[in-house]
Amino acid sequence: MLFNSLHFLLFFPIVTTGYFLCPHRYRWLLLLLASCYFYLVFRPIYILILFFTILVDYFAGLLIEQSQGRRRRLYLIASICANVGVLAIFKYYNFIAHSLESLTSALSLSLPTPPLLNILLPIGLSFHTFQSLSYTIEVYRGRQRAERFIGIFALYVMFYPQLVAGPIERPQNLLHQFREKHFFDAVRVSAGLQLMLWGFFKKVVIADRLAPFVNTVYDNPHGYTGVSFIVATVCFAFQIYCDFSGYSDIALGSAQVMGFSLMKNFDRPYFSKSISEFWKRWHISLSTWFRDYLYISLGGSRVSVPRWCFNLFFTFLVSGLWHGANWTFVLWGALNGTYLVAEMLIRRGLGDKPTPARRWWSPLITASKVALTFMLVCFAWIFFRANTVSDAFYIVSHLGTGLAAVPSQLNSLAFIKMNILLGRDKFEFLFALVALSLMIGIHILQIRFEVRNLIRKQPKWVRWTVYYAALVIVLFFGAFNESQQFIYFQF
Amino acid sequence: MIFSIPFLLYAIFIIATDPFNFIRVGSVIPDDVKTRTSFALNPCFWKMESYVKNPLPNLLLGDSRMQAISTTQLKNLTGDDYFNFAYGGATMREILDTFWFAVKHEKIEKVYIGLNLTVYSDYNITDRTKTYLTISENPALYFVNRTVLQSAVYATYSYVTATDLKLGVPSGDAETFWRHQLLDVDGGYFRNYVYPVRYRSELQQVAEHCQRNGITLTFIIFPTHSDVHGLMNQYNLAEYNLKFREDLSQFGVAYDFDFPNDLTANRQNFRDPDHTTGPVTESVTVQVWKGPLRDGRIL
Repeated sequence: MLFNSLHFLLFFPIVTTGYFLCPHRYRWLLLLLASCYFYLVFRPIYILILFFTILVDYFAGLLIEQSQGRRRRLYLIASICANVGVLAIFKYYNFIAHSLESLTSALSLSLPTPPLLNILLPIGLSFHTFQSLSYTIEVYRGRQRAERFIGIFALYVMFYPQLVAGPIERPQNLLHQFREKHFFDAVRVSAGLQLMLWGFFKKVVIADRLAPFVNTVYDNPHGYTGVSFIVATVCFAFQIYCDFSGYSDIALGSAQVMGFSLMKNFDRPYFSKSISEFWKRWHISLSTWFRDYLYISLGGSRVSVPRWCFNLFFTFLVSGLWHGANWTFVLWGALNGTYLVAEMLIRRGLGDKPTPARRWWSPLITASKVALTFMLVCFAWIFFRANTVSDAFYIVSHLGTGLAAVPSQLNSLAFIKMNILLGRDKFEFLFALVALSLMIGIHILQIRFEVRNLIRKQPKWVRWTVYYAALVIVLFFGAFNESQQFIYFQF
Repeated sequence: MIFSIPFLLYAIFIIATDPFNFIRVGSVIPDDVKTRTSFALNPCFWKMESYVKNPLPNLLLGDSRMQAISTTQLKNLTGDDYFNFAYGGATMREILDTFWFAVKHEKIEKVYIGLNLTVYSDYNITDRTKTYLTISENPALYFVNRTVLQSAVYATYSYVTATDLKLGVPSGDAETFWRHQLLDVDGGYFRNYVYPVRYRSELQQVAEHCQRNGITLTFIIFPTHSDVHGLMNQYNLAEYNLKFREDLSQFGVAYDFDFPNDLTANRQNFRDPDHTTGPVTESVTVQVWKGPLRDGRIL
């Protein structure tokens, strides 16, 4: 079930109303059934995969807690193998088979290649397996007690607001909330609905409106030149941010309405002044997952410098692979790993310096850092969005083509229409710019103020005007004609 | 609850007006008012919804020039029922999407596509068919569509005040309109002309589909006044004009009425540089569907 669908607009109030009317001791059951239904709408048979990982990790958690020494480790390995095995079969098998076939063909080896499987990727597989894995790892590390009640554990894995695209929760944050009694609180419910509305604004007004601009170029890059690639890539940078953070906001908001607190997944990432800062602000639940369970397990930064470089690079390589079974994602991950290694080495080379005193040019320095970080991130997005590696390299190698002629052609309507508007409607482009500016303005406000609190303090007529305006913009200016599935659903 | 009252009232308003006859529970606005408002604002939506209710195997696709062809005249000439799926200001995108839409709803036998160089261009990317296609997949979107809202407001105003809003009807005298159509509209198309590599490929797919399924595909290049020919030459598009004709002749039978001759030289034959008068349109219809060909040629 998509958040931006009529189905969800009916599902959500029914489930929320039922939640508050239901006696507390049965609420877990209501939410679990609702989450099952939420998942069944996609492809019913794949719920069996969810049940499999739930059963494996539920028993693994209990056995790990009851065991000592090597046995604990064995049960953890079993849990990891089961979860990674499911991922390997459903997500990576065909990718591995294709890659082997290409490799043997390139080496002129006549070796039998594994047959391809005709299976669709289950929605949210990467997310719920990682969430389930974080449970068994935390139990193993002694930081989380094993959940005795399978119903609550199942709900932890399947909780519908974050089931298909995160945030990837930690058991310490989420499990106990299912046992707490939540009361209807008008302020909290209102805040949750506001967050959902904000998420819908980012998704249907901005992200879905930018998608056609991006798809026009990236689905057929040959024939476009530098300025088109730059425009499409910048559009993608904002499309993916608004799409994914919009989804996260809807997830957080819908959970908040019922009284659940999910972790923040985005923190204005394009305001970052460095790549390392970007990764503390982008898809926070995933980057902290990899930090805590892979990077630190490899030794983190408490190793020699070459090993540190390897740990950073490898973690991001795996992160890239997590995003998709395609070499483009691996390259994207490798590029980000390279950025971080380079940043780390440069910082080490410069040594520890005291923070300089603020001067009149400090904002310019900050702006330059933000701009440079944004450019580096956008360059990496080329690999993330390109359909194939050859498309990605085509775009990269043609980024500069035709740029010198741009100033002299800006007075040509045909040039602007085909190369900057990318053949799309100028109203859509301008509206996207306006909506983006509004979003960025609110993000800037958020540096100083909690915007929802600001709105809450206003008189009722001001609050309702803001809500009506937001709803009208989402409903009547949402790009429903170009409705896109959430980008991260494919992961 | 109080917060949702405006939305409930709005929903009732849309149900009561139902500007495109999509909900079909009974509308307070009569169809003749909707034809002058909703149809004018989005003819694609209107016609697609009509076609779903009454699909026919013979289609007319194209822009306002094809729209001017009378299906009643065609019925009298050939005995066949035709659905005029042409739209004023249609783009290649709309023509192609409409063809595939029709193919999904009915076994098509004959397709006539009206094209001129101004339509056969990658520059025009408007696609009004998306509105209907999106709403038909998700009917709730009917209530949050700007065109539907605009149509509902216009239709209500027109009905209540008994006013014909004359949407899409040009203002000003004939000469002013002639110059505007020639220099601003056609001039804009010619100035920004882009040979349609992608549309050509998609048109080829249409031709291949027609060939595989025994569908008769015919193109008509409607006559335009010699002022348009002169403007096209000013923008050095003669080569593209030839290429356009070559492309069409490869895909199907193409009737060409748009070249220098007595018909196109005579201003009396035209309402504006791009549209012939009623009698000329009828004559073109007879020449294509019945013959003999007098003012045109087969490419």
